[in-house]
Amino acid sequence: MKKIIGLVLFLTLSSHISAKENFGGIYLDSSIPKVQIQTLKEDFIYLYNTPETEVDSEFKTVFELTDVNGAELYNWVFNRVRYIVGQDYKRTGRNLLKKKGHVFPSTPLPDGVFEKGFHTYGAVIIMSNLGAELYLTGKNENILKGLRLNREEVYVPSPRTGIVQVGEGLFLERLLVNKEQNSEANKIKRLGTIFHEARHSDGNAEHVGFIHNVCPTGHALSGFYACESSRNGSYSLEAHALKMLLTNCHTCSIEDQTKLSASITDSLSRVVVRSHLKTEEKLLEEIEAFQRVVEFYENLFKTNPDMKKDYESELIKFQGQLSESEAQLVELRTPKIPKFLDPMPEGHFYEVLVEDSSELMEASLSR
Amino acid sequence: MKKKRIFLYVFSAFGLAFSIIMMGQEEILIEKIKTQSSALKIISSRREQTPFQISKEDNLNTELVSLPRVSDLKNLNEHEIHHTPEIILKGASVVGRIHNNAEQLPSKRHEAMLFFKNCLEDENIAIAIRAVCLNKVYTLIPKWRIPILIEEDKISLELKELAKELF
Ligand SMILES: [Zn+2]
Repeated sequence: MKKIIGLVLFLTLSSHISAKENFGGIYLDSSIPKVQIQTLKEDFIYLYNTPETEVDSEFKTVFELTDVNGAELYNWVFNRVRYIVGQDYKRTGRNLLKKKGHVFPSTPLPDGVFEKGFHTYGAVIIMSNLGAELYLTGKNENILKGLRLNREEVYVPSPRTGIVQVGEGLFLERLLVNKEQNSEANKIKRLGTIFHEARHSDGNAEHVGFIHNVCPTGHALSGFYACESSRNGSYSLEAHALKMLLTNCHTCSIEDQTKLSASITDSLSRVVVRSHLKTEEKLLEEIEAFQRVVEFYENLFKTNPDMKKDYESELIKFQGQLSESEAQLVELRTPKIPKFLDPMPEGHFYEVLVEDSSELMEASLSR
Repeated sequence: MKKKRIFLYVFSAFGLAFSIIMMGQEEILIEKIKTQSSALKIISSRREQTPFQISKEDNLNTELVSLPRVSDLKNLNEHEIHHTPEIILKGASVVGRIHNNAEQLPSKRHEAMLFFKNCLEDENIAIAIRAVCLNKVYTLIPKWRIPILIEEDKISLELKELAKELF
Protein backbone atom coordinates (compact mmCIF):
# COMPACT_ATOMS: atom_id res chain seq x y z
CA MET A 1 0.00 0.00 0.00
CA LYS A 2 2.82 2.36 1.04
CA LYS A 3 4.57 1.60 -2.24
CA ILE A 4 1.45 2.45 -4.25
CA ILE A 5 1.01 5.76 -2.38
CA GLY A 6 4.70 6.49 -2.97
CA LEU A 7 4.41 5.73 -6.66
CA VAL A 8 1.27 7.90 -7.04
CA LEU A 9 3.00 10.74 -5.22
CA PHE A 10 6.09 10.24 -7.34
CA LEU A 11 4.18 10.23 -10.62
CA THR A 12 2.13 13.26 -9.57
CA LEU A 13 5.27 15.17 -8.71
CA SER A 14 7.13 14.02 -11.83
CA SER A 15 4.33 15.18 -14.07
CA HIS A 16 4.26 18.41 -12.14
CA ILE A 17 7.96 18.91 -12.63
CA SER A 18 7.90 17.90 -16.26
CA ALA A 19 5.47 20.77 -16.92
CA LYS A 20 8.25 23.11 -15.87
CA GLU A 21 11.89 23.20 -16.89
CA ASN A 22 13.43 20.04 -15.62
CA PHE A 23 16.05 17.54 -16.52
CA GLY A 24 16.19 13.90 -15.52
CA GLY A 25 13.34 14.67 -13.12
CA ILE A 26 15.28 17.44 -11.38
CA TYR A 27 13.57 20.83 -11.35
CA LEU A 28 15.84 23.59 -12.63
CA ASP A 29 14.50 27.01 -11.64
CA SER A 30 14.37 29.91 -14.07
CA SER A 31 16.57 31.86 -11.61
CA ILE A 32 19.52 29.79 -12.83
CA PRO A 33 21.24 31.43 -15.82
CA LYS A 34 20.78 29.45 -19.05
CA VAL A 35 24.46 28.73 -19.43
CA GLN A 36 24.58 27.26 -15.91
CA ILE A 37 21.49 25.15 -16.62
CA GLN A 38 23.21 23.70 -19.69
CA THR A 39 26.34 22.96 -17.68
CA LEU A 40 24.37 21.27 -14.90
CA LYS A 41 22.51 19.12 -17.44
CA GLU A 42 25.80 17.99 -18.96
CA ASP A 43 27.18 17.25 -15.48
CA PHE A 44 24.20 15.01 -14.69
CA ILE A 45 24.56 13.23 -18.03
CA TYR A 46 28.24 12.69 -17.27
CA LEU A 47 27.36 11.21 -13.88
CA TYR A 48 24.64 9.04 -15.38
CA ASN A 49 27.15 7.66 -17.91
CA THR A 50 29.66 6.58 -15.24
CA PRO A 51 30.68 3.02 -16.08
CA GLU A 52 30.43 0.15 -13.60
CA THR A 53 33.29 1.02 -11.24
CA GLU A 54 35.33 -1.03 -8.80
CA VAL A 55 35.40 0.79 -5.47
CA ASP A 56 36.58 -0.09 -1.99
CA SER A 57 34.19 -1.31 0.68
CA GLU A 58 34.28 2.06 2.48
CA PHE A 59 32.72 3.72 -0.58
CA LYS A 60 29.91 1.17 -0.62
CA THR A 61 29.38 1.59 3.12
CA VAL A 62 29.15 5.37 3.12
CA PHE A 63 27.00 5.56 -0.01
CA GLU A 64 24.98 2.47 0.97
CA LEU A 65 25.37 1.12 -2.55
CA THR A 66 26.15 -2.41 -3.63
CA ASP A 67 26.74 -1.56 -7.31
CA VAL A 68 28.53 1.58 -8.38
CA ASN A 69 27.48 2.76 -11.83
CA GLY A 70 25.94 5.81 -13.45
CA ALA A 71 22.29 4.88 -12.87
CA GLU A 72 22.87 4.12 -9.16
CA LEU A 73 24.94 7.26 -8.60
CA TYR A 74 22.41 9.46 -10.38
CA ASN A 75 19.64 7.87 -8.34
CA TRP A 76 21.61 8.60 -5.16
CA VAL A 77 21.82 12.27 -6.07
CA PHE A 78 18.24 12.39 -7.37
CA ASN A 79 16.86 11.20 -4.03
CA ARG A 80 18.57 14.13 -2.32
CA VAL A 81 18.53 16.90 -4.92
CA ARG A 82 15.13 17.40 -6.57
CA TYR A 83 14.95 21.17 -6.95
CA ILE A 84 17.77 23.50 -7.90
CA VAL A 85 17.44 27.28 -7.70
CA GLY A 86 19.90 29.94 -8.82
CA GLN A 87 21.93 32.47 -6.87
CA ASP A 88 19.39 35.24 -7.56
CA TYR A 89 16.44 33.27 -6.24
CA LYS A 90 14.87 35.23 -3.37
CA ARG A 91 13.82 32.95 -0.57
CA THR A 92 12.01 35.68 1.29
CA GLY A 93 8.74 37.59 0.81
CA ARG A 94 6.12 35.79 -1.22
CA ASN A 95 8.51 32.99 -2.11
CA LEU A 96 8.78 31.83 1.50
CA LEU A 97 5.80 29.66 2.45
CA LYS A 98 4.68 28.87 5.99
CA LYS A 99 2.00 26.48 7.16
CA LYS A 100 0.89 25.84 10.73
CA GLY A 101 -0.35 22.56 12.15
CA HIS A 102 2.31 20.26 10.74
CA VAL A 103 3.49 17.57 13.13
CA PHE A 104 7.26 17.24 13.08
CA PRO A 105 9.00 14.12 14.42
CA SER A 106 9.57 14.44 18.16
CA THR A 107 13.31 14.00 17.79
CA PRO A 108 15.83 16.42 19.32
CA LEU A 109 17.31 19.20 17.22
CA PRO A 110 21.04 19.38 16.51
CA ASP A 111 23.09 21.02 19.25
CA GLY A 112 23.82 24.72 18.88
CA VAL A 113 22.64 24.91 15.26
CA PHE A 114 20.55 28.04 15.82
CA GLU A 115 23.08 29.89 17.93
CA LYS A 116 25.76 29.51 15.31
CA GLY A 117 23.44 30.33 12.41
CA PHE A 118 23.59 28.32 9.21
CA HIS A 119 27.31 28.43 8.64
CA THR A 120 27.16 24.93 7.22
CA TYR A 121 24.84 26.02 4.46
CA GLY A 122 26.28 29.47 4.18
CA ALA A 123 28.39 29.01 1.10
CA VAL A 124 25.83 30.59 -1.23
CA ILE A 125 28.67 31.58 -3.45
CA ILE A 126 29.19 27.94 -4.49
CA MET A 127 26.26 25.80 -3.45
CA SER A 128 24.00 25.40 -0.41
CA ASN A 129 21.28 23.08 0.79
CA LEU A 130 18.19 25.22 1.36
CA GLY A 131 15.92 22.26 2.06
CA ALA A 132 17.85 21.20 5.16
CA GLU A 133 17.90 24.77 6.44
CA LEU A 134 14.14 25.27 5.86
CA TYR A 135 13.35 21.95 7.51
CA LEU A 136 15.46 22.70 10.58
CA THR A 137 14.30 26.28 11.11
CA GLY A 138 10.71 25.12 10.47
CA LYS A 139 11.01 22.31 13.00
CA ASN A 140 12.51 24.72 15.52
CA GLU A 141 9.61 27.16 15.08
CA ASN A 142 7.05 24.36 14.65
CA ILE A 143 5.98 25.78 11.28
CA LEU A 144 6.15 23.84 8.04
CA LYS A 145 8.19 25.97 5.67
CA GLY A 146 8.47 25.84 1.93
CA LEU A 147 9.33 27.77 -1.20
CA ARG A 148 7.33 28.98 -4.18
CA LEU A 149 9.12 27.73 -7.25
CA ASN A 150 7.56 29.45 -10.22
CA ARG A 151 3.90 28.66 -9.47
CA GLU A 152 4.48 25.50 -7.55
CA GLU A 153 4.38 25.44 -3.76
CA VAL A 154 7.06 23.13 -2.45
CA TYR A 155 6.84 22.46 1.27
CA VAL A 156 9.71 20.90 3.19
CA PRO A 157 8.43 18.17 5.55
CA SER A 158 11.85 16.47 5.42
CA PRO A 159 15.41 17.52 4.56
CA ARG A 160 15.01 14.98 1.77
CA THR A 161 12.68 17.36 -0.07
CA GLY A 162 16.02 18.24 -1.63
CA ILE A 163 16.09 21.94 -2.47
CA VAL A 164 19.56 23.27 -3.26
CA GLN A 165 20.83 26.61 -4.44
CA VAL A 166 23.71 26.95 -6.87
CA GLY A 167 25.86 30.05 -6.88
CA GLU A 168 28.21 31.42 -9.49
CA GLY A 169 31.10 29.92 -7.50
CA LEU A 170 30.18 26.49 -8.81
CA PHE A 171 31.01 27.70 -12.31
CA LEU A 172 33.86 30.13 -11.68
CA GLU A 173 37.12 29.30 -13.39
CA ARG A 174 39.21 30.18 -10.35
CA LEU A 175 37.25 27.69 -8.25
CA LEU A 176 37.36 24.99 -10.88
CA VAL A 177 40.12 22.82 -12.23
CA ASN A 178 40.85 24.24 -15.67
CA LYS A 179 39.66 26.88 -18.13
CA GLU A 180 37.29 24.68 -20.08
CA GLN A 181 33.91 24.93 -18.28
CA ASN A 182 32.71 21.55 -19.53
CA SER A 183 35.95 19.59 -19.32
CA GLU A 184 35.78 16.23 -17.56
CA ALA A 185 37.88 17.57 -14.69
CA ASN A 186 35.50 20.49 -14.10
CA LYS A 187 32.48 18.21 -14.28
CA ILE A 188 34.09 15.99 -11.64
CA LYS A 189 34.84 18.99 -9.42
CA ARG A 190 31.23 20.24 -9.62
CA LEU A 191 29.81 16.76 -9.08
CA GLY A 192 31.95 16.44 -5.93
CA THR A 193 30.26 19.59 -4.61
CA ILE A 194 26.83 18.25 -5.61
CA PHE A 195 27.48 15.01 -3.68
CA HIS A 196 28.60 17.10 -0.69
CA GLU A 197 25.42 19.19 -0.70
CA ALA A 198 23.24 16.14 -1.40
CA ARG A 199 24.44 14.60 1.87
CA HIS A 200 23.06 17.61 3.74
CA SER A 201 19.61 16.24 2.76
CA ASP A 202 20.14 13.20 5.01
CA GLY A 203 20.21 12.37 8.70
CA ASN A 204 17.86 12.48 11.64
CA ALA A 205 17.52 13.91 15.14
CA GLU A 206 20.79 15.49 16.36
CA HIS A 207 22.41 15.06 12.99
CA VAL A 208 19.63 16.15 10.62
CA GLY A 209 21.34 17.61 7.58
CA PHE A 210 24.72 16.16 8.59
CA ILE A 211 25.60 19.57 9.94
CA HIS A 212 29.30 20.33 10.11
CA ASN A 213 31.13 20.47 13.43
CA VAL A 214 33.49 23.13 14.65
CA CYS A 215 37.07 22.29 13.65
CA PRO A 216 38.98 21.54 16.85
CA THR A 217 41.91 23.34 18.41
CA GLY A 218 45.05 22.52 16.50
CA HIS A 219 43.25 22.18 13.16
CA ALA A 220 44.11 24.70 10.43
CA LEU A 221 40.43 25.71 10.28
CA SER A 222 40.02 25.73 14.06
CA GLY A 223 36.86 27.56 15.10
CA PHE A 224 35.12 27.28 11.72
CA TYR A 225 32.11 25.01 11.19
CA ALA A 226 33.98 23.20 8.45
CA CYS A 227 34.80 19.79 9.91
CA GLU A 228 32.98 16.57 10.71
CA SER A 229 33.62 13.84 13.22
CA SER A 230 31.72 11.11 11.37
CA ARG A 231 33.11 9.02 8.55
CA ASN A 232 30.03 9.31 6.34
CA GLY A 233 29.40 13.06 6.32
CA SER A 234 29.50 15.52 3.42
CA TYR A 235 33.28 15.93 3.34
CA SER A 236 33.91 12.17 3.33
CA LEU A 237 31.34 11.62 0.61
CA GLU A 238 32.73 14.42 -1.52
CA ALA A 239 36.23 12.94 -1.25
CA HIS A 240 35.02 9.41 -2.10
CA ALA A 241 33.00 10.70 -5.05
CA LEU A 242 35.90 12.76 -6.42
CA LYS A 243 38.27 9.82 -6.11
CA MET A 244 35.87 7.43 -7.86
CA LEU A 245 35.10 9.89 -10.68
CA LEU A 246 38.81 10.67 -11.09
CA THR A 247 39.60 7.01 -11.71
CA ASN A 248 37.21 7.14 -14.68
CA CYS A 249 38.57 10.41 -16.10
CA HIS A 250 39.98 9.94 -19.58
CA THR A 251 41.07 13.48 -20.29
CA CYS A 252 42.38 14.72 -16.92
CA SER A 253 45.89 16.13 -17.28
CA ILE A 254 48.49 15.76 -14.51
CA GLU A 255 47.61 19.28 -13.38
CA ASP A 256 43.89 18.45 -13.34
CA GLN A 257 44.56 15.27 -11.38
CA THR A 258 46.69 17.18 -8.89
CA LYS A 259 44.00 19.82 -8.31
CA LEU A 260 41.32 17.20 -7.83
CA SER A 261 43.67 15.31 -5.49
CA ALA A 262 44.11 18.44 -3.39
CA SER A 263 40.34 18.76 -3.23
CA ILE A 264 40.21 15.17 -1.94
CA THR A 265 42.88 15.73 0.73
CA ASP A 266 41.30 19.05 1.67
CA SER A 267 37.94 17.34 2.24
CA LEU A 268 39.46 14.43 4.15
CA SER A 269 41.54 16.75 6.32
CA ARG A 270 38.22 18.00 7.70
CA VAL A 271 37.18 14.54 8.92
CA VAL A 272 38.63 14.75 12.37
CA VAL A 273 38.79 13.05 15.67
CA ARG A 274 40.24 15.66 18.01
CA SER A 275 43.08 13.60 19.48
CA HIS A 276 44.53 12.76 16.07
CA LEU A 277 45.77 16.28 15.82
CA LYS A 278 48.17 16.18 18.76
CA THR A 279 50.98 13.88 19.82
CA GLU A 280 50.94 12.16 23.22
CA GLU A 281 54.03 14.14 24.17
CA LYS A 282 52.24 17.40 23.37
CA LEU A 283 49.17 16.42 25.38
CA LEU A 284 51.27 15.39 28.40
CA GLU A 285 53.01 18.77 28.27
CA GLU A 286 49.65 20.54 28.16
CA ILE A 287 48.31 18.51 31.09
CA GLU A 288 51.39 19.20 33.18
CA ALA A 289 51.23 22.93 32.48
CA PHE A 290 47.50 23.18 33.29
CA GLN A 291 47.95 21.05 36.40
CA ARG A 292 50.56 23.49 37.68
CA VAL A 293 48.21 26.45 37.20
CA VAL A 294 45.27 24.64 38.82
CA GLU A 295 47.43 23.62 41.82
CA PHE A 296 48.66 27.19 42.17
CA TYR A 297 45.10 28.59 42.38
CA GLU A 298 43.95 25.83 44.74
CA ASN A 299 46.83 26.53 47.14
CA LEU A 300 46.30 30.28 46.80
CA PHE A 301 42.67 29.97 47.89
CA LYS A 302 43.68 27.77 50.83
CA THR A 303 46.12 30.34 52.16
CA ASN A 304 44.20 33.44 51.01
CA PRO A 305 40.48 32.64 50.98
CA ASP A 306 39.69 36.29 50.21
CA MET A 307 41.21 36.00 46.78
CA LYS A 308 38.79 33.24 45.78
CA LYS A 309 36.13 35.79 44.94
CA ASP A 310 38.27 37.47 42.26
CA TYR A 311 40.10 34.49 40.84
CA GLU A 312 37.71 31.55 41.08
CA SER A 313 36.64 31.99 37.48
CA GLU A 314 40.27 31.59 36.41
CA LEU A 315 40.55 28.33 38.32
CA ILE A 316 37.38 27.03 36.65
CA LYS A 317 38.73 28.02 33.23
CA PHE A 318 42.00 26.15 33.76
CA GLN A 319 40.25 23.13 35.25
CA GLY A 320 38.17 23.02 32.04
CA GLN A 321 41.27 23.14 29.86
CA LEU A 322 42.91 20.46 31.96
CA SER A 323 39.90 18.13 31.57
CA GLU A 324 39.83 18.77 27.82
CA SER A 325 43.49 17.80 27.44
CA GLU A 326 42.97 14.74 29.66
CA ALA A 327 39.97 13.68 27.56
CA GLN A 328 42.04 14.08 24.39
CA LEU A 329 44.77 11.91 25.90
CA VAL A 330 42.27 9.17 26.71
CA GLU A 331 40.97 9.42 23.14
CA LEU A 332 44.48 9.26 21.72
CA ARG A 333 45.31 6.18 23.78
CA THR A 334 42.19 4.40 22.64
CA PRO A 335 42.36 4.98 18.90
CA LYS A 336 39.02 5.04 17.19
CA ILE A 337 37.83 5.63 13.70
CA PRO A 338 35.25 8.36 13.13
CA LYS A 339 31.76 7.09 13.86
CA PHE A 340 29.17 6.15 11.28
CA LEU A 341 26.02 8.27 11.54
CA ASP A 342 22.61 6.91 10.60
CA PRO A 343 21.84 8.59 7.25
CA MET A 344 18.10 7.75 7.43
CA PRO A 345 16.33 11.10 6.89
CA GLU A 346 13.47 12.11 9.14
CA GLY A 347 10.08 13.51 8.16
CA HIS A 348 7.93 12.71 5.14
CA PHE A 349 9.74 11.76 1.97
CA TYR A 350 9.67 9.02 -0.63
CA GLU A 351 12.59 7.04 -1.94
CA VAL A 352 12.72 6.85 -5.73
CA LEU A 353 13.87 3.56 -7.22
CA VAL A 354 16.84 3.49 -9.56
CA GLU A 355 14.58 2.26 -12.40
CA ASP A 356 12.39 5.35 -12.03
CA SER A 357 15.17 7.94 -11.90
CA SER A 358 16.85 6.22 -14.87
CA GLU A 359 13.58 6.38 -16.80
CA LEU A 360 13.36 10.11 -16.14
CA MET A 361 16.92 10.59 -17.31
CA GLU A 362 16.39 8.47 -20.42
CA ALA A 363 13.29 10.52 -21.24
CA SER A 364 15.33 13.74 -20.97
CA LEU A 365 18.12 12.30 -23.08
CA SER A 366 15.78 11.24 -25.86
CA ARG A 367 14.11 14.67 -26.02
CA MET B 1 85.82 -22.92 -24.38
CA LYS B 2 88.79 -21.00 -22.90
CA LYS B 3 88.00 -18.03 -25.12
CA LYS B 4 84.43 -18.10 -23.91
CA ARG B 5 85.60 -18.01 -20.24
CA ILE B 6 87.97 -15.10 -20.94
CA PHE B 7 85.14 -13.27 -22.64
CA LEU B 8 82.93 -13.86 -19.61
CA TYR B 9 85.64 -12.54 -17.23
CA VAL B 10 86.15 -9.43 -19.35
CA PHE B 11 82.40 -8.92 -19.61
CA SER B 12 81.93 -9.27 -15.81
CA ALA B 13 84.80 -6.87 -15.16
CA PHE B 14 83.15 -4.32 -17.44
CA GLY B 15 79.85 -4.93 -15.68
CA LEU B 16 81.45 -4.40 -12.27
CA ALA B 17 83.22 -1.25 -13.39
CA PHE B 18 79.96 0.03 -14.89
CA SER B 19 77.97 -0.60 -11.71
CA ILE B 20 80.69 1.10 -9.61
CA ILE B 21 80.46 4.12 -11.88
CA MET B 22 76.65 4.03 -11.67
CA MET B 23 76.74 3.65 -7.88
CA GLY B 24 79.12 6.55 -7.72
CA GLN B 25 76.72 8.59 -9.82
CA GLU B 26 73.82 7.66 -7.56
CA GLU B 27 75.81 8.74 -4.50
CA ILE B 28 76.72 11.97 -6.23
CA LEU B 29 73.06 12.42 -7.06
CA ILE B 30 71.98 11.85 -3.45
CA GLU B 31 74.66 14.28 -2.28
CA LYS B 32 73.48 16.83 -4.85
CA ILE B 33 69.91 16.46 -3.60
CA LYS B 34 71.08 16.83 0.02
CA THR B 35 73.05 19.98 -0.76
CA GLN B 36 70.24 21.53 -2.77
CA SER B 37 67.83 20.57 -0.03
CA SER B 38 69.79 22.27 2.75
CA ALA B 39 70.34 25.31 0.53
CA LEU B 40 66.62 25.53 -0.03
CA LYS B 41 65.96 25.15 3.67
CA ILE B 42 68.23 28.07 4.51
CA ILE B 43 66.45 30.18 1.93
CA SER B 44 63.11 28.94 3.16
CA SER B 45 63.82 30.04 6.74
CA ARG B 46 65.24 33.33 5.50
CA ARG B 47 62.06 33.84 3.49
CA GLU B 48 59.96 34.42 6.58
CA GLN B 49 61.98 37.48 7.49
CA THR B 50 62.74 38.92 4.08
CA PRO B 51 60.30 37.37 1.60
CA PHE B 52 61.41 39.45 -1.36
CA GLN B 53 65.12 38.66 -1.26
CA ILE B 54 64.92 35.27 -2.91
CA SER B 55 67.58 34.61 -5.46
CA LYS B 56 66.18 33.80 -8.89
CA GLU B 57 68.85 31.14 -9.26
CA ASP B 58 67.22 28.99 -6.57
CA ASN B 59 65.24 26.57 -8.63
CA LEU B 60 61.52 26.36 -7.88
CA ASN B 61 61.91 28.30 -4.67
CA THR B 62 59.51 30.95 -5.93
CA GLU B 63 56.98 28.20 -6.55
CA LEU B 64 57.60 26.75 -3.10
CA VAL B 65 56.96 30.03 -1.32
CA SER B 66 53.81 30.55 -3.35
CA LEU B 67 52.14 27.48 -1.82
CA PRO B 68 49.27 28.20 0.61
CA ARG B 69 50.25 28.43 4.27
CA VAL B 70 48.23 27.34 7.28
CA SER B 71 48.12 31.02 8.26
CA ASP B 72 46.52 31.89 4.90
CA LEU B 73 43.65 29.50 5.66
CA LYS B 74 43.01 31.21 8.98
CA ASN B 75 42.44 34.49 7.15
CA LEU B 76 39.57 33.12 5.05
CA ASN B 77 35.91 33.63 5.92
CA GLU B 78 33.17 31.07 6.60
CA HIS B 79 31.97 31.15 2.98
CA GLU B 80 35.41 30.60 1.53
CA ILE B 81 36.20 27.54 3.62
CA HIS B 82 32.99 25.51 3.29
CA HIS B 83 34.28 24.04 0.04
CA THR B 84 37.91 23.67 -1.10
CA PRO B 85 39.34 27.22 -0.96
CA GLU B 86 40.75 28.87 -4.05
CA ILE B 87 44.22 29.11 -2.51
CA ILE B 88 44.37 25.31 -2.17
CA LEU B 89 43.42 24.87 -5.83
CA LYS B 90 46.03 27.45 -6.87
CA GLY B 91 48.70 25.68 -4.80
CA ALA B 92 47.76 22.33 -6.32
CA SER B 93 48.04 23.90 -9.75
CA VAL B 94 51.66 24.85 -9.01
CA VAL B 95 52.46 21.32 -7.80
CA GLY B 96 50.71 19.80 -10.82
CA ARG B 97 52.58 22.00 -13.31
CA ILE B 98 55.93 21.09 -11.79
CA HIS B 99 55.03 17.39 -11.97
CA ASN B 100 53.85 17.75 -15.55
CA ASN B 101 56.99 19.61 -16.68
CA ALA B 102 59.20 16.97 -15.11
CA GLU B 103 57.16 14.23 -16.72
CA GLN B 104 57.85 15.80 -20.14
CA LEU B 105 61.49 16.68 -19.43
CA PRO B 106 63.36 14.00 -17.45
CA SER B 107 66.18 16.50 -16.76
CA LYS B 108 63.78 18.41 -14.49
CA ARG B 109 62.87 15.42 -12.35
CA HIS B 110 65.49 15.81 -9.60
CA GLU B 111 64.54 19.43 -9.16
CA ALA B 112 60.85 18.48 -9.05
CA MET B 113 61.47 15.72 -6.53
CA LEU B 114 63.34 18.14 -4.33
CA PHE B 115 60.43 20.57 -4.61
CA PHE B 116 57.99 17.86 -3.48
CA LYS B 117 60.28 17.01 -0.56
CA ASN B 118 60.47 20.63 0.58
CA CYS B 119 56.73 21.00 0.16
CA LEU B 120 55.83 17.93 2.22
CA GLU B 121 58.33 18.69 4.98
CA ASP B 122 57.24 22.30 5.49
CA GLU B 123 54.85 22.31 8.43
CA ASN B 124 53.65 25.82 7.57
CA ILE B 125 52.19 24.71 4.23
CA ALA B 126 48.50 23.66 4.19
CA ILE B 127 48.18 19.95 4.90
CA ALA B 128 46.03 19.28 1.81
CA ILE B 129 48.94 20.41 -0.39
CA ARG B 130 51.62 18.66 1.69
CA ALA B 131 49.65 15.42 1.38
CA VAL B 132 49.55 15.78 -2.41
CA CYS B 133 53.34 16.36 -2.44
CA LEU B 134 53.92 13.32 -0.21
CA ASN B 135 51.76 11.20 -2.50
CA LYS B 136 53.81 12.41 -5.50
CA VAL B 137 57.00 11.34 -3.71
CA TYR B 138 55.53 7.94 -2.82
CA THR B 139 54.52 7.28 -6.42
CA LEU B 140 57.38 8.98 -8.30
CA ILE B 141 60.38 7.52 -6.42
CA PRO B 142 59.95 4.14 -8.13
CA LYS B 143 58.60 5.62 -11.37
CA TRP B 144 61.40 8.14 -11.90
CA ARG B 145 63.93 6.00 -10.04
CA ILE B 146 65.08 8.91 -7.92
CA PRO B 147 65.96 8.28 -4.28
CA ILE B 148 65.13 11.02 -1.81
CA LEU B 149 65.57 11.32 1.93
CA ILE B 150 62.42 12.27 3.80
CA GLU B 151 62.73 13.58 7.33
CA GLU B 152 60.39 11.25 9.15
CA ASP B 153 59.92 13.52 12.16
CA LYS B 154 58.39 16.17 9.91
CA ILE B 155 55.61 13.87 8.70
CA SER B 156 52.69 13.40 11.05
CA LEU B 157 50.50 10.32 11.04
CA GLU B 158 47.64 12.45 9.71
CA LEU B 159 49.75 13.64 6.77
CA LYS B 160 50.74 10.08 5.87
CA GLU B 161 47.16 8.88 6.08
CA LEU B 162 45.96 11.70 3.81
CA ALA B 163 48.68 10.98 1.24
CA LYS B 164 47.80 7.28 1.26
CA GLU B 165 44.15 8.09 0.56
CA LEU B 166 45.24 9.16 -2.94
CA PHE B 167 46.54 5.71 -3.91
ZN1 LIG C 1 28.66 21.31 3.80
